[in-house]
Amino acid sequence: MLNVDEVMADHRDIDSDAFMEAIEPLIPDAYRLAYAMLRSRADASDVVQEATVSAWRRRGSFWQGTEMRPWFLAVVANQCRQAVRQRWWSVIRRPDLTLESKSNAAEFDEAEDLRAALRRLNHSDRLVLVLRFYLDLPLNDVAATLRIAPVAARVRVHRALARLRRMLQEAEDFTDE
Amino acid sequence: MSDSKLRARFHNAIGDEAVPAELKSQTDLALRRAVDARRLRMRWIPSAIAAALAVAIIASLVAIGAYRRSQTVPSTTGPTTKASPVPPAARGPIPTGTAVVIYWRSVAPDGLYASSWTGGLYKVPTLNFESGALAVQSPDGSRLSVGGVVYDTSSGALLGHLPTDATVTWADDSRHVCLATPLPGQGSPTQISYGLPGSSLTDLGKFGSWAVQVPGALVLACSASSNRVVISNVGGENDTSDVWVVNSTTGLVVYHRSYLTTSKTNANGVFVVASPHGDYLAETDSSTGSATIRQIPANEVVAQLTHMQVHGFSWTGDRVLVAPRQPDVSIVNTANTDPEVMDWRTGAKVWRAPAGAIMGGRMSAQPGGDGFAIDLFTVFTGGRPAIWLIGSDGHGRAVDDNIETLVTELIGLV
Repeated sequence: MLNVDEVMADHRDIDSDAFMEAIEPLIPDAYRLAYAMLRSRADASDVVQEATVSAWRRRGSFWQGTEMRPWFLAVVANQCRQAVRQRWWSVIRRPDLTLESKSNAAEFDEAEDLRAALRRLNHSDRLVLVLRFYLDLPLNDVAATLRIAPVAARVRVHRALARLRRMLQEAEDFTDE
Repeated sequence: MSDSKLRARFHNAIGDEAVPAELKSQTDLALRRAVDARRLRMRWIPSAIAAALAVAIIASLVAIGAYRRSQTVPSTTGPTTKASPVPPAARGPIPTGTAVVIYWRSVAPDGLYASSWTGGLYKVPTLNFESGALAVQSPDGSRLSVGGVVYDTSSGALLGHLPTDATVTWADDSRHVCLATPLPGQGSPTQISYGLPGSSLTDLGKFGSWAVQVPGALVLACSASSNRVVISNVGGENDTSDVWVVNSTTGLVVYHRSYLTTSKTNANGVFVVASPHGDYLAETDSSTGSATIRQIPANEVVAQLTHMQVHGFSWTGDRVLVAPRQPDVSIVNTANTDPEVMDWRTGAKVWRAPAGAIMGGRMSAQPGGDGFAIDLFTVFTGGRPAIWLIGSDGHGRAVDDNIETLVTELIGLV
């Protein structure tokens, strides 16, 4: 296992094999983040590849001594933002169908409500919640990924959660009606 | 709700998505490609500086020469520079088994030459055909049909005959052909048939309607590998009204699509091309200036290219030859400047022509690869086009800069 600091010490001259070796352990988290943001396996795979290339090009922006995971996740998050923007070209894809094996109808509805609410949130709110509650990152890592102070990350999580709860409540009210 | 409950709810809603097994290798490959592409780009920098210096020196010398002549000697008309009839690097006949792109250096029986996909130039034996006959090469260039006769381009041997009134489209095996024969009388359909030159042909049916200045039914793709023949009916403005996909052995129509032409006073139509094996259609709509790529016969839209005209597909169907265009209902197929090759799945531009380059109107897809050959006018070629090879690696270069035209299918620009 390579020491990331060692690998990135002279990051401008790092060869692509060593870079790939350093990135490889981060790919599962990167993929899960991209999938949670885009809800498409194909798009998530594309984003991880594009983010790796982008990170390689931007390797000069990596600060020695900092964690590589939040740095790479920030690149992935940025790539997700670009992917959802309207581009001059677009490949039309249907959302991936997930095999729902929920025996409990209430649990299924609850999951669907949360998915719908997440879709309605803006990119920043969705990102902060996915990092905190899906990737289970500590607040310090959420802050490092978003390149903000830990206190600011806590505030963002709190606000995003408040908006999410409001949307879930609206959905419940609508169902009750 | 506690943090742990929230986490459980998130995992339940989003799912614990497993990482695809091939993602690491795909990512590794993507990175290697990016690194290689950067190295290739860097290689151009010293060449570009050298070229710029050379241009500056030549321009200075020309300016000094012109100044001296104007000051001292009355100008005289010198001999005009004529293109050499033979490309400087042309070797002997085409080696058997080498895929080539055939082109006219001059439209004459001895004017045919060929370029391999690695840039080797060869002479096609002098053929005996009538002046003005339309020549069409097979995809690998091993065969050439001209004036109803099929020749072996390596030896010049006569291989068979075809009806002289038919338009020939070679199949992707470079052995079979699809023929479009307009039946007598304006407004009549065109008969489409398939088979081997010199043997009996299978009649696939009658399609479209032709007239003077109206092409009628054309074969967009003829595939022996997929048993598909893609046929379009094209109007006088290059606008497509219908596309059919027909099974080449049974003649059954396996796919049909109609396009609305909304006005008779202008084109306002759709220009359609097909991939060599009949897997994809690219439909450029003149009213939007954008193209839709459709998988056939599933009829699934797989990509949209905004403000792009698609002129043709690579052999694999993965790449397209495009040119930027804007909405313009007056001409259906108009975009011929600044062509590019792009991967339509990712939108990545693989190759871009020198600024201001204009396509001559013909292209060829590299058999088995993702390369293209096109005829291209650039600022360096003067009044005649050059034959350009764009490799699967995205590297493009002119291999003979003084040609008449390619002997491949038209892409509707001329």
